[in-house]
Amino acid sequence: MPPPQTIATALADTAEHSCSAPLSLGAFLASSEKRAYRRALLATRHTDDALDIVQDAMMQLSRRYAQRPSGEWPMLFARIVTNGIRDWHRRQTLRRKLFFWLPAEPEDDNDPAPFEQVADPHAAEGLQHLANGQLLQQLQTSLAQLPARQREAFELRIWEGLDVHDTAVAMGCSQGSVKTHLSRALHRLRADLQGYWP
Amino acid sequence: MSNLNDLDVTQQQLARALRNQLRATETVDPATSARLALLRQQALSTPRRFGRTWLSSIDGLAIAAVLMVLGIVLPQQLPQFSSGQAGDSTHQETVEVLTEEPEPEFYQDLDMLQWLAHESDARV
Repeated sequence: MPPPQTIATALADTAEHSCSAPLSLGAFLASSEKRAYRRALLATRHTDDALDIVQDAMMQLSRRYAQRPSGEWPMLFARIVTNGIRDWHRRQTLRRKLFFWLPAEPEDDNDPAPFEQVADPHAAEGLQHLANGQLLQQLQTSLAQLPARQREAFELRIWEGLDVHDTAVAMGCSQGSVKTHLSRALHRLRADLQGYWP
Repeated sequence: MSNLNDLDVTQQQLARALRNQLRATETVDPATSARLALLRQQALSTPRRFGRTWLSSIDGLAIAAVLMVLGIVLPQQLPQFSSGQAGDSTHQETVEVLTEEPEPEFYQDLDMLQWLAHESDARV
């Protein structure tokens, strides 16, 4: 088993797994779980719900797709997480319709905003760090306000680093639709983050 | 890093910058990290579905065989299935007799019919 530093370096970019040597499923999950958790937390704003989504995704990948080539795992795992988030939203919508008289479930007070705990070791001190924090908060707000399909396209294509084909497979739509959703998402994010970009 | 060539230059710059920012957020507190590691271990220790496709084809064959047996054997074992038309016609006649309005002569000859029935019972 390679040392942790080697694994971390090898798995720095999940989407590049297909070009690297075969990996164990455990190493792949270890490299992908935090990103999946962040995505789920951004969508749900609840620690336990986010962990549930990640757990289900890990179980499904391990149970159903462990024998598939390791190069397919990033796309499969991203798709499972995306479907889990989508199902969570559906359940929440149904719950709101069935129990409309109940007050809305409060966000997890114990958990900070998804990007609040950022500990970027490469971030500069002082104003730059503050600017990054504000940018991330704004980015979080803007991502949450994107239409679901645009957010999925952005997360899979940009955050996960999947190519257009894999993103289309993960989203269950055409490659043209992926490009359209992503273009609209970037256009809107650029407008929302105008103060932070030249 | 995946190919972003389908985007124009300004979109590529924005996409790369946002990707770097988001990747920098992929840190969690030690407690959450420990929970994730536990969930990972549980996922890796779950039994995997080997040869699911092969099993599915066997299941399908078994179901098809059972349906075929039912389709061949049942009509032979149960006569009402094989002679469905005769059964239907008998049923239709019964319904007609029960729903048919009797003619007035039937009531006029009712005494005669009762006498005939009594006579036949006496002979038996």
